[in-house]
Formats: sequence, structure tokens, C-alpha cells
Amino acid sequence: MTGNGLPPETEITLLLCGGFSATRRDEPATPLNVGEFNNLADALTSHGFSLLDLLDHTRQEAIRSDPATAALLTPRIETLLTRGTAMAMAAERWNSLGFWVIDRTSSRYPERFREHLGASAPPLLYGAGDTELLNRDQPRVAVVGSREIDTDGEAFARTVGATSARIGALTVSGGARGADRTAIDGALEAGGEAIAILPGALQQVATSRAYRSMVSEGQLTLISPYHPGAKFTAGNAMGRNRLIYCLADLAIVVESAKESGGTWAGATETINAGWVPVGVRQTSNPSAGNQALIDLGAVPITPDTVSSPDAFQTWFDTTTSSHRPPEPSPASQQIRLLD
Amino acid sequence: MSNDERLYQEALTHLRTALNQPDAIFRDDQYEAIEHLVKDRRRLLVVQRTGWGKSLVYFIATRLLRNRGDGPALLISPLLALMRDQIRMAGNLGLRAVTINSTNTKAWHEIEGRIECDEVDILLISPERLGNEKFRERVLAELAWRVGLFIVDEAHCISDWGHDFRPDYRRIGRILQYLPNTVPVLGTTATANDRVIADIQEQVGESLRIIRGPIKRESLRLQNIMLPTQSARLAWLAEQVPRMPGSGIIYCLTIKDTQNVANWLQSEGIEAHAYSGRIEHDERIELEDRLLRNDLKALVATSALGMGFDKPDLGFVIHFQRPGSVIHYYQQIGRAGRALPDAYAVLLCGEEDEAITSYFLETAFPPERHIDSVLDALRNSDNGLTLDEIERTVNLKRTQIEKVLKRLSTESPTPVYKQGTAWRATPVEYRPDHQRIEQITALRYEEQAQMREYMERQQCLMGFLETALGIVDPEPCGRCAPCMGQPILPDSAGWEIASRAHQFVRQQSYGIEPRKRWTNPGVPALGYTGLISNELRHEPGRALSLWRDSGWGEMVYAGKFQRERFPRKLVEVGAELIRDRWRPEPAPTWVTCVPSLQRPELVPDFAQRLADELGIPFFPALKKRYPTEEQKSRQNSYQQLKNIAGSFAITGIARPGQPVLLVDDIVDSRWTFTVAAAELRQAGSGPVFPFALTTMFGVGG
Ligand SMILES: [Zn+2]
Repeated sequence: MTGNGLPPETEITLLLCGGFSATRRDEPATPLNVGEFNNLADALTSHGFSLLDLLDHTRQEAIRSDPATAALLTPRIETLLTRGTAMAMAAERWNSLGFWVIDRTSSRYPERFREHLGASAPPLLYGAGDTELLNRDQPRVAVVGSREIDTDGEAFARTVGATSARIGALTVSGGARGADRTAIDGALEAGGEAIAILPGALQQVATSRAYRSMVSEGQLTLISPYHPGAKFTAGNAMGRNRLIYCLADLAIVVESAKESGGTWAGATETINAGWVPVGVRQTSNPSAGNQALIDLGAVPITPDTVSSPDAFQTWFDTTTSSHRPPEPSPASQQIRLLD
Repeated sequence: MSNDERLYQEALTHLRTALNQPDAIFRDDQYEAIEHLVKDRRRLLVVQRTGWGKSLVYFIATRLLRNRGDGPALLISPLLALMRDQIRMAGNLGLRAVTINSTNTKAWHEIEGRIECDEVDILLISPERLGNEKFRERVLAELAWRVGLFIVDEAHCISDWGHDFRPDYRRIGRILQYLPNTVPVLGTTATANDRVIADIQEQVGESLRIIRGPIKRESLRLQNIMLPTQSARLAWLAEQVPRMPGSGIIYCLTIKDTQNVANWLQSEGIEAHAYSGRIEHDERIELEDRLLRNDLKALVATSALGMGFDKPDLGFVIHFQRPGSVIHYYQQIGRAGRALPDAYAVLLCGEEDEAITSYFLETAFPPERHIDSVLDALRNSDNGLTLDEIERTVNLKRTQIEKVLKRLSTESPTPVYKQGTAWRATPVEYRPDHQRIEQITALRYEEQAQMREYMERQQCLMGFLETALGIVDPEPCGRCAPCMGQPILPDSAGWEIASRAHQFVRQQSYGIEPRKRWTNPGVPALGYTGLISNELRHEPGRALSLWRDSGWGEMVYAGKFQRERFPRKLVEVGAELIRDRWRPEPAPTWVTCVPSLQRPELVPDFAQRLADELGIPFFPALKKRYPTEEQKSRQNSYQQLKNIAGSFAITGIARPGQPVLLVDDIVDSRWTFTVAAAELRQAGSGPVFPFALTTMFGVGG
């Protein structure tokens, strides 16, 4: 998002799906969710139009006057399309503060989101820091776990980050307090790199004294499916959990409650979908949640394994190679609809 | 009737309503511009001289778009104060035009409500508003959802190649880059050369269409006159201005000069008034109104009286000093003679012109060490710093800090941003674009040289200006001094008036206003917090000269730094100023001075001789407890007060309760006088009248 504005694909996606204000109240029509966005794109394509036609006054008129497509431009969509000035002001602001926004057709968009999530991949990603990390050919370890962890859990998370850095792997995490941040701190302190996938508050985290220089120096990349000014909400946090798993080669659960909470939901969703293998911290006296995940097929990993780079490397190789990836999502083709 | 004809008829009806003239027709290109915006919803830059009717274009376009159900227009203009007439015209078209600015914050809430109910057709805001986060979130968010036409007035400011580039316009340029083609855009300007137009096109995009009209003003009669000294130029003005047709503008490069020239003309019985950014908003409006009504012979103005001032019968524009570029010059003289057969544009050139324009040029960009120290302070803070807190942390003037923040916050990407009242660092690594800064500075020097060339030009002057502004092979105008082969106006003034002017220059003095407030947090240990009470404040004072000016400034400088004693002449003129012109009331009955450990004799010696000349006693009532840094090494108020507070001791008040003259050689921040006066008052002296030989205040515009 430098230089002359946004690519048209990003423009139309932002106009239809983006939020521009910190407070939802200010938005007179609700932006489209990913399903609605896909449906509109499909419908236009099947009548010989494309989403990009919505960026041109004359083409818009053509869609409105064609009886086959006139009904597609509902009042809600018409309202969303008038948001050009709000969008430009928001995009200018984000860019000025060092944030970028990309859509699914961008070459910088994580290939793994397209691969695993297909048409349900988030239409937009916002972020700060080096986008090159997103698709770099490098092993990636996701670390997840609750916000409330004990000192053992904290030490474990930090060690996973540090050891990942030592074996040349990228740490992917959620950036929340607790396991997430501890793992990232471990990776950064060990000189490694990390990606934090945030459920909002992008601007707050990126400008915090703790992470500002890491971001500007390319060690830490922050991304979020929610715009930089968006507030942190629990709903948002659930929505982005799957992104953490999908961006990694495998995930390690530090601590999970049983049958409740975001960690449990994300881990079980991943085990069921089979996106990536899920590892779980194993101790002599595991929590009910951790034990239940092992019972569901998660791979146990001990503190000893994570503290030895060699042992960790071996565990990483074995776990990833014995994992059977799912069939590519049939919907993944639809993602090309903007090309 | 075809759709196109229908649109034309509709537009014509609105034109006639707006002007209240049933037979009005569109002027060159006006309808074309409207059609491009309304029928095609595209992007347009209109380059037309003042008076062409650009406001008609955007109001009629807004009216037509609103008739078609489109959203309201957003108009960004630096000239809101000058748009009262235009707003009236919008009213004729049934357009509900609303202005939002810093002077009507109380009305914001109501305006928000009206925007929400779609009861605003066109919103006018200043470029600075657009940079204000709170305003964007609160007021603009609602409107920005539906803007049907995006209008940028004075669009040449977008280009940093432009002659009066403004940092806030950078943001507008970038917003335009992000603006999807779904929103039609209109930019308007009266002055843009090829380079500026190309730059705007690059920012707004290839689809920008350009409508450009002729620039020549047929009624102007141009003449250049070289008069090196200020007094010679003052004399010329006093002699010629009364003979000029109607009312006009005299442009100066600095605020100080506007005051001097206006004072001089007033003393010669000419209705002239100073006008600059330092004059209160309401008074500026009042002055503009008086000029419009020909109730003033002339406004003596800085470029603050600039864009958008619209007086069709302006009879003359005289430049007291040479402006920095042809485009500046042309824009300023272009205000004259729009509806007159003859109007004068005279360029007076003096010895100081080059120095002043170079000073502006060299200080256009904040120095890198200023940028670094502000950035360091912000990066070392957890939750950002307010302006006051930055001032306490770094040794820079508040204006310097503000300049750095303004510059940085309008960069993109920017290393700083403002959240509430605090400035915070972003994750952006900032590197100043040296190459671009050098290129722009080099261009500014070229422009300065071009203006020098103009000054010396012996052939058609209008032709020179047109060529410089991109007109190929212009015809000689046949009306300027070189075309006429002789001066249009005499190029010097009579001997008598010249000697009065010389006298005037030597008699200038400069007020020293008392400070009314301690810094925040001040120096609580000494009780220096909040307002400075009347009992501690000094009275209004005077300075004899401006730092190194052509009156007495050079003599003061030489006395201090070369001879280490002030000459007898300064004692005489100082006493003359105090006794005959200033006449402080109640008259001081004794003299004291500001002590210094570095030059313990210099000021007391002068004060003693001044006291003798005034026939009142001198007592050194103050002494220095310990050496302090020179005040001028302390860059801002907080640091200056901290440096000086508590450094004086009282040796005794010679005449308790009696008014006293407090003498110093140089006044700059006024903190020394403020603290010394507070000490004297606390020790029991009467009112304190400060007197300085020279003032640094107001140097460099
Ligand atoms: Zn001529």
C-alpha cells in the first residue's frame, strides 16, 4: 500500500467488506461478510460482469439497467458503494501510520489461507511490518494457549519461541496476553522472527513501545482480518483463531480448558479439519483440557523436547511428515473470482 | 430533448438563479466542467484566473448531483473566512452550505445532526480539519460515507513543487490517491505552472482532465523600481500611493515591515493598515471589508492576504520587497484590475530582499537535529508525550517543535501521530528524503534567481511573466514601463519627504508586551505558576531597535560585540525615545538594570549614562547569584524560565513604591525582564518599565 493508492481489487473489497471506523455505530450499512461477498462476485460473474465494474460509473449503470443484475445492487450494497471518501481517508491514515491492507488476490496474501480456507479465507488482511514473512519458505510453529497460564506454562511457551528461532522456524501466535505474547517474546529475544495474528487493536500493538522497533526492523509482522482501528472483541478473537493454525506447519497448545474457550475451539476445529497437526504440552500431571486434546488425536510434547533444538527438530519433522493433509478445499477455486 | 440537452437546460436555469440574472449564459468552459463532473462523474482540474467563476461550477455541479440523489459535496478550502459571498450564492441555489472550523466548535454537534438527517448539501472545511482525528471520527465519518463530489480549492497547494505548498495539503493529495473512481473530483486553482499541473496529475491519476484558461490580465501596468534603502522606498510610497487609483495592497515580506510601513503611511496622513497572520481573525475580516469598501487606501500585508481575496476594482498592488518567485508575484498582482481599465503593479526592490527570501528558503525544512531530538523523545516514552511534555524534554522552541511535528505527521508513512493530546511514535523508520529536499530547495533558488532576472528586465515585463508561467511566445503588452520606453511612475521621491522617511526609520521603536502567564508547570518553589499577577508583572516596555536593523541595530551590535561600550549617540536617542515619544506613565523616578556576570560593566555603564541624561538616579538593585547560560541558548519558554528563575538577588530598593526603568541591552524571550520585574516588585519597588537597546523578537517574519 505504498505509492499510488490501492489496486482496484483491494479497493472494491474494502468498499464492500471493510470497516473504517473505530465505532461500528457510525456505519449506516453493515459491510458484507465473506459469504455475501462471494455470492455477489459469483452472481456478477455469471452475468458477464465483475466486481471491478462496480468501480466505474458507466459500468455501474449497465449493471443497474440490466434486468438480470439490477436486483443484485440492493440498497445496502448501494450504500456501501458510496463510501469512497470514507475509504480513502481511512486508507490514507492507515498507510501513513505504517499499515498495509491486502486482498485475496494479492501476491502477498498468505498462500496457506487460500489453500486451507478457500472461499472462506478473509477477504482482507491488514498489517504492519514486513509482508515477505507471510509467504516465506520457512518452517512455522504456531503457539496457542489461554491467557491465564502458570509459570511452567509460561516457561514452556517462551522456550517454544526460542527453540523455534534456533532451528530457523518462524513463530506464529495470537498476540494476546499469556501464552501468545510469551512465545513471541521468546522468539524475538532469541533473534528469531514472528507473526502475530491479532483480533483487533492492531494500531495499539504496533505503536506500543515493546513491539514498535521489532516491527520496523522486520523481526515481527502483525496481521489482522480487522482494520487497524478496530477494537479487540472476544468475537473477533474466535474468528481469527483458525488463521493462526492455518498459517503454520504445526501448532502447539500450551494450555487449554476442556470444552470451553477459544483455545479448545480452535484446536478441535483444526484437528477435525486436519489443516495442520496439533501438538499439546505434556506434563506429569496434565490439565483436563490438554489430556482431552491428546485423546482427540493431538500429539503430546514434553518440556524436555522443546528445550533441546535437536529433539525439537526431530519432533517437528516426525509430526509434520506423519500428518495427512486434507483434500484441497473445493471452494478454493472461487477465490480467483477477482482475477 | 435528449438527456444531454436536458442537463444543459437544467444547468442554465441554475446559473440564472444563482446569479439572479435571467439572461446569464455560461462563460468559457464552465458548462464543460459541470458536464464532466455530473454526466461522467469524472475528475477535473480547472486552472482559471480569479474571477472566472469556479464557485459557480462547483455549486451548480453540486445542485445537479443532489437533484440526482447523490450525496453531499465536500469542499476543502484554506479560505473559508473569505467565502461568505460564495455561501450566499449557494443559498440562491437552495443548497444548504455549512462551514466547520475551529471558531464554531460549539455548533459541531448540531451540524453532525444535520449531516445525519441529510440536511447538508455542501460541507466546507479547511485542510487542517482533515488532519484532525477527532473531527474525522466525529463529524466527517457520517458525511464521508456519502460524499458525492470531492472539491479541492487552491489545488496547486497539493504539489510540493507549488509556490505555497502547505503540509496539510499533502494529506489531501494522498487521500485523492486512495479515492476510488466512484467519487467525482474537482480541483480548482488560479495559479499553476506546467510542473505543478503535472505533479497534481501524477497524484490524482491519469484520468484527471485539465481545463486551463488564459492568464494575462490586460489592465495591468507593470513597472520595477530599484530603491535600495528602506527610507527611499517609504518616501516613494508616501508620495505615490495617494496618486494611485482607488484602493490597493502593499505587500511586504515580514510582519515587522507591514507594521513599519503602515505606521509610516499613517504618519503621513494615508489611510493604511497592517495586515498579517498575527492579527486577530475578526480584525482581519474587518480590514478586508474596509478595503473592499474603499474605506482604506491600502492594506500593508504579508502573503497572509492572499488566495481568494476578491476585489474586482483593486487599483494597485505594490511590493515593498521582492517576493520569492514569479508565481508568488503573479498571484499577488493578479488581484489588481480585474474590473478596471487600468491598474498598477509596481515592484520596489531593496537591499534586504535577497537576505529575507533566502532566510525563508533555508528554514523551510526543519533541521535534521530538530527532527532527531523530537523523535528520540517520543520513542523513549511509553504512552506518548503532549506538546508541553516534549517542550520540557527537548531544548527546542515550541514553534520549532510544532514545525517538526507538522512536517513529520504529514509525511507518509509517518513516524509520529497524535492520539488525543499526546504525540506517539509509530513503527515507521523515518529517513528524511534528502534528495527531494535538495531538489525543492534548488528549485526555490532558481525561482529566486528568476525573480532577480525579472527585476532587471529591460523588455516587456508582462511577457516575461507569461513566459515564466508557461505561455509560449506572448505578445508584448504595450503597457508596461519597458514597452512604453519610459517610467510610468516617477522612480524616486522628493528630497523633503525622503528626509522625513529617513528620520522615521531612525525613530522606530518596538513594544515589549508583558508576559501574562508562567510556563506550565513553571517554578512552584518560587511561586511562579499560573497567571502572573498584576502586582508582579512589568509594564509595557520599549526597545530602541530591531536586532541589527538599519536604524540603530547595527550600532547596538557593534557596541556590544566589538567596542564593549555603547556609544553616546545611543544614550541620546534612548533618552529621547523615553522622554519624548514613549512617555511611560507614571514616569520612572529611578533607573536600574539587568546584571550580567559575563559583561559586568556593559549594561550598568549604559544605564548610568541614560539615567544621567534623563536626570534621575541610577541604582543597581539586582545582582546575579550565579552565572546562567545565555538565554538565547535556551530554545523554549520552559527552558528559558528554568534557566533564569531564582538567579537574581536584590541588593536594595532605592526608592520603595516608586516607578523604575529597568534597562537591558537585548530582549528576546522576555523571561529575563519578567523574572527581574517580579523580583523588584516583590522587594517593594513600584511599577517596572523595561527598556532594551535592541529586540530579537519578530526577526525573520
Ligand atoms: Zn510590456
